[in-house]
Amino acid sequence: MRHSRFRNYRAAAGRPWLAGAIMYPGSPELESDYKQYKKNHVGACIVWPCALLFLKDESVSELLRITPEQALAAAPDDASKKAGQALANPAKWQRTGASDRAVWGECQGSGSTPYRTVVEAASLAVKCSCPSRKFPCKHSVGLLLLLSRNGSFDHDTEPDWASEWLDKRSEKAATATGPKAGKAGADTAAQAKRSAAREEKVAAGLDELERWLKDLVRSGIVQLPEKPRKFYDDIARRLIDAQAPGIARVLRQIGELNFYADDWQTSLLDSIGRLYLAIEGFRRPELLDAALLQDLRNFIGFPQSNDTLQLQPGTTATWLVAASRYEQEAGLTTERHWLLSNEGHTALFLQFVPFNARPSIHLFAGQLFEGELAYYPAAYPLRAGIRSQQPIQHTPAFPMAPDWDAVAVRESETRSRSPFAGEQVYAVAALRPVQLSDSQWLIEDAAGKHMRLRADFSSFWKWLSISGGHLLPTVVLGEEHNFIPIGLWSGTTYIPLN
Amino acid sequence: MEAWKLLVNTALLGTEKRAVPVDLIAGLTGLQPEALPDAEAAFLRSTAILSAYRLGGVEPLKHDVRATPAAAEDRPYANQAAASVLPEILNAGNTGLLRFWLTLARQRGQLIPPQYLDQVLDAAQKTAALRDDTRATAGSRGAWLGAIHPQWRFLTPSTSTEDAWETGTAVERSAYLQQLRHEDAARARELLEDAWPREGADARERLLGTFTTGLSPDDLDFLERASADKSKRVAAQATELLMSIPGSSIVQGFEAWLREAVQLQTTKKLLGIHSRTNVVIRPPELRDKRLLDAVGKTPAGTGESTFLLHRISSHVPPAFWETQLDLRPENIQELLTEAASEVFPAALAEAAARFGDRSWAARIAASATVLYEPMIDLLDESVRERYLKRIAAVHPETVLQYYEQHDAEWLPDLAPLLLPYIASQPYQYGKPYLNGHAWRIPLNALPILESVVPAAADTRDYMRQYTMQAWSANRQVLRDALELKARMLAAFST
Repeated sequence: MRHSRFRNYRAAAGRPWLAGAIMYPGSPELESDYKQYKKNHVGACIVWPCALLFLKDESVSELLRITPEQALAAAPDDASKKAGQALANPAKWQRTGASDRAVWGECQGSGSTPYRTVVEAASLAVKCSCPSRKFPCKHSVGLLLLLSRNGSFDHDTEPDWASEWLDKRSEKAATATGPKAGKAGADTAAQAKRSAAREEKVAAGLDELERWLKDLVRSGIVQLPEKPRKFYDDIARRLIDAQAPGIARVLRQIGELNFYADDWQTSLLDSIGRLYLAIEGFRRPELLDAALLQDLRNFIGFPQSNDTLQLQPGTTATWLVAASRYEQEAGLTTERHWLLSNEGHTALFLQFVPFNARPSIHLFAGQLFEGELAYYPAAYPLRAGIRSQQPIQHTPAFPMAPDWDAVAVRESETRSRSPFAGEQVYAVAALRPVQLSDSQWLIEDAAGKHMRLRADFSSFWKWLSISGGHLLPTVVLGEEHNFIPIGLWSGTTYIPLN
Repeated sequence: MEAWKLLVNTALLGTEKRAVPVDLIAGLTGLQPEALPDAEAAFLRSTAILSAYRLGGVEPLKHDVRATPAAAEDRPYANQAAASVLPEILNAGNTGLLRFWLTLARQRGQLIPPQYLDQVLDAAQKTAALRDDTRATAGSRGAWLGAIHPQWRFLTPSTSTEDAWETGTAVERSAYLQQLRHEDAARARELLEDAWPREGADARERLLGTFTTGLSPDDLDFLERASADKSKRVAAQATELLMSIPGSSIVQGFEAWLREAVQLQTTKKLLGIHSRTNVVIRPPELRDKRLLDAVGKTPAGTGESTFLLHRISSHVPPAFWETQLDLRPENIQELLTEAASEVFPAALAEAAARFGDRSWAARIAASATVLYEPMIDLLDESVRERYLKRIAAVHPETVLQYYEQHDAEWLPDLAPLLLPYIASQPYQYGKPYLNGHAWRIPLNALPILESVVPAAADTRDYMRQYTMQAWSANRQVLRDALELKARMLAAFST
């Protein structure tokens, strides 16, 4: 099946961000992200990724909570790390200050005038007057490192050069969130034709999937542990060609199952069950209500448009980034951030970043911000977009499920609304590790009931060290009886676990 | 869930061989999968329904287990500022600074904060030198973790009791005996004496080796007997030990030989007005077999008589010379050095160290031009300082070597003397060395780092340039490490 986008591949050579879109046909999030990225890149504003999961400890600033590790992680390479560390010396900074929305400093360089660096607190965007081509420059790293060690800078009026840039940024953010009206018009006819073609392709793909599933079921799954990955990769590729990337992802996940684990048959059959639901549901959409149909189409991999998102009502609250996961696949990084709100909401924020590009929104596990999110329409709304971020005024308390029974009730609710729901995130008031046998640990709640700890939990010893086997408020991720802790509170500090 | 198990069984064998339990599923869920001619479709429908049904009715498990959390701590955790230095040290992999952090915490009776505990324990598992301090600062949580995680077993303190002596492995027994020699040397000797006849030659040699600790004249009898052991290696070991006990037969034999070998001679000059005393060395042949064995073979490249003189003199208490030559100690040192400079005062230094003679050690340190490492521990602080400074100005590399073997920070005054040498050897004292040893370097080095220039070693321009460049890079490494050390000290002193 020839794909029109492949013809443009050679035209895209030399533009790496476009290559991501080429290699992943069917990721329109990518194209809209790319356009958004291009818009943000205009101008001197430089934004960087605050990478990866580090422990948060209590040496934070009230305004901008950042730990020394996070500040160092922002540096693009080792040389910048060292240079940043050298500049984290208070003697080097003539003037530092903080306001409600930013921190800044003036650093004496080799020239006559000092370099001016300002960091916007909510988004971690930075601007520096130094001529360095690296971003972020060593002054920004140094300023952040200094802030992380000091705890905070003195509150002060913003200097003009900082206010100018900060005002411009908030203007741009305001205009960017308005609905894009310009896309209507001459495109609609072509778009309708494309949509119809896609529906046909998906239907054909699902037919093929049904045949594959029936073959599998006829001959028995007992032979599956011996099948090579190609067995799943082939059918996954056919589904990608059929423009059903969600289904392809499920097939790949089946291929990655640990066939030596005890219960692989159950995981496999659960996935097959969902796939069959998708096949039958797609054939008879009239039987489903709008929300469930939306869930079905999301599961298959139909794009969720930004336009629809912009029309959704917003949810404003204080949000905690409970966990961040990064998947890398051939030039594309998929970021999944689980968010909890102080009013009990859970949200999943996805971001697709082509290799070499910078993400437009920067989140790191443990981050707190006040902001407005908008959920994509679904039977069980989970995926959301971030409309605005502001620095927090104070740390709120987060509502938590008292024990596993309460979690089980919520699980039932979730799955009764949507059978396509996968793993979910729950904040539980008190959990601790308990050993069942040499190879199996349990997560115990205050009432003495258990869920199993998944074998793929990589921060086991960190969890044991921080908890000491005592009950602590913990955020867990999982489904049915298998969970992993993704973060916990020690005192008032939230510590993410990988 | 029974129905699910049936479904799984059907799935395993395939619908060709197994019927789909549709009736069971219908009865359970109240949902009738439409009767289809296709068994596979029926199976897939049943799977979809039953899977959703099952996941929708999850209940938590209840196993019969007891939680055993860690005991409460009886000491406080290190404060925030101190804790914030840890991740930077751990990321850099700097075990020297990590150990320094742990010793600071241990001195103040503080514990490692729990969120960094697992990383510190991993580091201690890899580097044995960290284990002792880690054990002392991990608290009850550390002991709890050590009981669970086999790799962290070193956290549970191993108190070897006398059981270890009775029933332990060879390694455990010698560890126990070593520990006992520290605490109660006499008891250790008793135990060994009792067990002596029953032990094999290897065991005897190994266990006897523990006697280097706590050696005293009380061990004399036992060792004299042991030196006549039928195993050559055991006898040699016992002899070696005897050579360090004043009053043993070997040492007395040495003294006798020396009495013959070294004698005073007074010569009159200038018509009897002046008289000069000097020492004459005429080493006689050494005939006693025991003493010959004790001295050992002359190594290649050394003259036999020099070797003999050195070996024997270094195993004789320095006080011997005072009685033998009947002169003041300063004169003795001078005269002996004059007579055989390749042997003295090195042999005297060795002897002073071996027999714990503090006044001789101080005397030698006052005038020595070379570093005699073993006797430095016997010196008073001020004497030691003067000695090290004097040598550092001339032979900085020997002072550096001394510190590498010892668990101590440099004396502050040594920094300006040792740093230029380090700067001049950027390859030998490069990044790994500086990171590993930064904890020893006192903080007064920080302000002077900028002005340190490599000690002039090479006059070739390009070499000087290379050295300067390399030193600039090394200097930055050192500065970073010292700044971490400074932050640590500041954090722990609040």
